Amino acid sequence: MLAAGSLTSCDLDPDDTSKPRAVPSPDPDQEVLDAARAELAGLVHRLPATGRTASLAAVHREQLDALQGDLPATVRHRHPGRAWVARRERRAADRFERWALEAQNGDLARVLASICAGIRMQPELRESA
Amino acid sequence: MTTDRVDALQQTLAAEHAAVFVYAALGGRASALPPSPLREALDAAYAAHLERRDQLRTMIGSAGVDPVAAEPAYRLPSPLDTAAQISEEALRVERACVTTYAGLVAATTDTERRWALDALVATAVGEQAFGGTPEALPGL
Repeated sequence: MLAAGSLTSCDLDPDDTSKPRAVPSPDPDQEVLDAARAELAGLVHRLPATGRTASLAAVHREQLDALQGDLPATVRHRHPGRAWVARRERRAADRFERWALEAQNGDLARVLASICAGIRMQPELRESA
Repeated sequence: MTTDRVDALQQTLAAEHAAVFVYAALGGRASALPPSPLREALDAAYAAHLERRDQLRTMIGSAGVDPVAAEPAYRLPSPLDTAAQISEEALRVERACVTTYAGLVAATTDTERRWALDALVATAVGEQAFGGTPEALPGL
């Protein structure tokens, strides 16, 4: 859906060699984006795509895809306990809320806020509230 | 205040005007039905949108801009007699507002973004009172 790197492109003419090369400034949102992708990849890794965590795992895969993150190479097969899942999901929602407020790019903030809301909508978190 | 921010706040206020109108009408229709969780959910949603409408008016007015006025009336679907029809319309309103709040998150910073984020989360979660199902990316 978006990449933070696309937000800081330089308007340099590639054919103009008379000017000194500009060093692209670091993307101010890269750290947030990396952390958000890692958070979702960690959740996908810990939630088997079968049984009672199948739906939640699918939600996080879709969210990770929206951030153009890579799926983890492996997924655990053992189901975590319900309390662990609820605690972990709540922590993730809190983090996405914070990242949505921190992001400098509005489009990224919108996606992070949507992910936060999407996590809070899930029954695993609502049932434990 | 930037034009984008003002425009987004005004769009959100316009959505709240519509939501307040529709919920008033839905509450009237639901009053003809037996007491149910739906009526309570409609009352709660009406109160929430009324409060947000007033907050948005204040936010826009404090920037020295005239808040957009409500339309004289808004189109309602027909028929709107059964609990299922009323719930469906309420869900449509909530989803429209969620999309608007997401747009406001993108256009704002600091306290205004905090406000938009809180509204987005509360409304997305509240959709389930009207038969909404959990989504991965509400409002996108």
